[in-house]
Order: sequence, then structure tokens, then C-alpha cells
Amino acid sequence: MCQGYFKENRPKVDAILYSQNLKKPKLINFLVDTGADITTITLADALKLGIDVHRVIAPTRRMDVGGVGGPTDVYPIEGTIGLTFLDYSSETDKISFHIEFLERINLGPRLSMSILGRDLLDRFDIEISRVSGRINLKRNDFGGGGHICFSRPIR
Amino acid sequence: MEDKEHIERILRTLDLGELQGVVKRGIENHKYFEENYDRIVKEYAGRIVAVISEKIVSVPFTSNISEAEKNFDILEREIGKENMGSAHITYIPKPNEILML
Repeated sequence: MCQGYFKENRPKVDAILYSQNLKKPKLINFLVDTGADITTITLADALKLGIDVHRVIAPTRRMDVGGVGGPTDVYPIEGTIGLTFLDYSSETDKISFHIEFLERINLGPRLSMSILGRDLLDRFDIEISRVSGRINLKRNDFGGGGHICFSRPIR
Repeated sequence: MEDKEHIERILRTLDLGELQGVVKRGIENHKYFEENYDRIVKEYAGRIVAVISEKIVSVPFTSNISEAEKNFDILEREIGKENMGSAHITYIPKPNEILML
């Protein structure tokens, strides 16, 4: 299970992004956006990940996407990308690693927050509780896409 | 098949200890961010902030690539390249700012 939290009433979750093309694993703060079709990162997060933004943001690669806030442009970043969610259980004193694989994410230069869209969220049953302030993403094994889960004791 | 190979390659290069370290430091940075959020909103609304080891660095939000790169260099210089992985970097919305993403 992956757990999120609320910030200013907005549902958030943190994930570490990893791929062969990214220089080092980096922690990225995502908005859980069940209305967005695709997972998209901001320009600031793309730079944090060491992505060559000049190569990615090219006119020939531009995709126009619609949104309730108006249309915007996004640019695909291809190559299998691992999103790792980590949770700690004090009961077992273990850390669980939950790695989801996406064939691509997108870069949205005009976005102010990186968003987890339905290309990833459709794999989960999502529980958003305002009362407890918790967000739980439970993996649906029939939700498609590759994923791996395992746990390890704290060192 | 190609995807399977990609996934296997990623898994081979995954350093769980490194991931654990990134998350551990990330949680500490996030905790400091949470505890100081009211002050951060007052001082940095409408900007991108990076929180690392109880230090806050901010740059303006921009969708211009060259400006974003310059801003990123500032962040990296101020907080250290080695700390970027676990730094809590986020946009601080202005009070009552409506985001429709």
C-alpha cells in the first residue's frame, strides 16, 4: 500500500523516480489527480531529475492536452520509469518498497505541481479520508502495468 | 520483451540502501516543511522552495526553460548537488490561489 497526505487540502504522495536515463533516484512530490489522464512532472522536477529538457521540450514532440483550467502543452519522456513508494511499519520495523513501472511520463512546462494521473492511478483502489487525513493507494492486481512489492528490515 | 528488459535493468541497478537514505532524509525535510508551513506560505507564496536540513531556498516559478535552468543552478548551488535527491522541492501556492491542473 502507498500512503499519501494532505497539504492545503490537496492530496499528495511522494515517490522516488528512477530509470536508466535519470542520473540518480530523486524524491518527487506529486498531486494525486484522479481527473488527469497522464502523469506529468513540472519543469523544476524535470531539472531535479537531470532530464535534458532542451531535448524533451521540442516543437515536434509537443502534445496539446485539454484541461478544465484550459489547454496546455506537454512533452513525453519515454523509457521505462520506476516510481518507488516507500512506507514504514513500526509494528514490524520494516520498510516496504512498492515499485510501479510506467513506459513514459510527461513534462508540463506550465504546470506548477507534478501530478500523478490515471495512467498510474487506475492501477490502484484509492481511499481518501478527510477525517483521518490519510490517503491510501491499494494496488489492484488486475489494474495492469508492471509492479513489484517487497519489504526489508530497517538497517 | 523490451519492457521486461528495461525493468530488469532498472532492478539490477537499484540500490535499496540509497533509496532508503533518500527517503529518510526526504522525510526529515518534509517534516521541517510541515512544521514551518505557515511561515513558508507567508514568505514564499507563488515561488518554488527547496527545503534541506532546515534550510529554505526559493526561486520564482517560471515556465521559461532558460530561466528555470538558471533558477535550478541557484538551488543546486545553495543546497548542494548531493542533497538534491532528498530535498523537498515544491511550488507554494498563493493564499486562496485556485489551481485547476
